[in-house]
Amino acid sequence: MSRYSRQELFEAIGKKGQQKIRQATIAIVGVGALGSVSAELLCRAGVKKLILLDRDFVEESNLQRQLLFEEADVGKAKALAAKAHLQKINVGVEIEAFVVDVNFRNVDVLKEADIIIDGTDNLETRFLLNEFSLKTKKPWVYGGAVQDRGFVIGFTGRSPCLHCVLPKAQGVGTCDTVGVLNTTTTLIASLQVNECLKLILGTSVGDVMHVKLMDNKFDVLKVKKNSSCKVCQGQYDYLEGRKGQEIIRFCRTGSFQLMTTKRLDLKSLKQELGKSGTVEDLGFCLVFKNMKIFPDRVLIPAKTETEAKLLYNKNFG
Amino acid sequence: MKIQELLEKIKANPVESVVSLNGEIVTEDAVAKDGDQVEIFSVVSGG
Repeated sequence: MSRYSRQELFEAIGKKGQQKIRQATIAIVGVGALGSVSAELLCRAGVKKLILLDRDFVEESNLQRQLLFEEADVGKAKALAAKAHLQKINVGVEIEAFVVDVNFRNVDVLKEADIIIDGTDNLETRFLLNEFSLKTKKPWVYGGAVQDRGFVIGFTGRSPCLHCVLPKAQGVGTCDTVGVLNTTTTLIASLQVNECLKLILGTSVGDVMHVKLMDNKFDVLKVKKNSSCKVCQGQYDYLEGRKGQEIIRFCRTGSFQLMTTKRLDLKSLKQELGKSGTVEDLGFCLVFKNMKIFPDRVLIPAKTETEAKLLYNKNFG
Repeated sequence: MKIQELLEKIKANPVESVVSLNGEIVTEDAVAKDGDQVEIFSVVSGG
C-alpha cells in the first residue's frame, strides 16, 4: 500500500486524483493559525510543492492554536520554522519559505502557484489576493476565524469575488483583540484545504461556508456576482498600490504613522480594545499599548515598517 | 424594506456585516419582503 492509499481508496480522489494532487503547487500566505494547519494537511496529502510566506515570528501566545510550532520555535520566523517541521513530515514535498510581507510590490511571487490559500490576519492582504486572483485567473481560498466563528469561500479566479461578498468590509475584532478557539482555526483551515483539494480535482466550489461553534451553527450560503463590483470590472486598487496602508516613519520618536483605509469609530474601538487591555481616551485619540489611535491614522512605536504593520493588523484587522 | 434600512434600524454597522437573504449573500441595496429570511453575520478578518 502506498503512503497515500487511504485517500486513494476514497473514490472522489482515487489514483488519478492523487496524481493531480501530486502535481499541484500551493502558496500559503500567512503561516499562523490557519496557514500552519493548511500547510500540514497539504504536506501530508502529498502535493508537489508548498510556498510559505509570512512576515511574523512565533510568539508564545501562538502555541495554543498554531499546531506546527512548539516551544523551541518561539522567536523564530514562522515561515522558516514551518518549513523545518514540514520537511520532517514529508520529504517528498518541495517546500519554499519566504519571510516577507506580501504586498502589491512582491505579490508576483505567487504566480508560480496553482492555488493560493489565505492564512492572513487582515482584510487588506485578502483584498490584494482577491485582485491578484481575478487578474491572473488563479483560484484562491479565503478563510477567516475569530472567537468561535469563521468563514470559508473557495474562489475560482473568476467572478464572483471576495469584494462581491464584502463590498464595504472593515473587520474590527481580531484574534489578538477578541480571542479565538483552536477548534475554530483548525476547522476553518480544514475546510480551506478541502476546498483546495476540490479545486485541484476540478470539483465545483463557491459556496460561502459559515460556522459558529458554540451554537453548533453551520451555514452554507450562495453568492452571485455583484453587478456593481468594481474589482470584477477590472479595477485593482490594492494590486496597483492605490489602496492600502500609507506608512510614514517618524525618526525622532521611533514611531510609524499608518493611515487607516477606513475612518475608525473611536467610541466602538475603545470598547473593543478595552477587552484586551487598558485604553486611555484623550478625547481626540485613544492610547492603547503605546499606540496613539486617531480616526484616520495610528501612531505605532516600532523598529521597522514591517513590525508597525504587524501591530496595526493585529489590533485593527 | 431595504437591507440598508434594516441595518440602520437594528444599529448594525454595515462595514462589519455580511447579510444573507433567503440563503444568498446580498448587498445593502437588496429588498427584504414579508416572509423572507434575513441573517446578519459579522465580517471575520482574523486568521
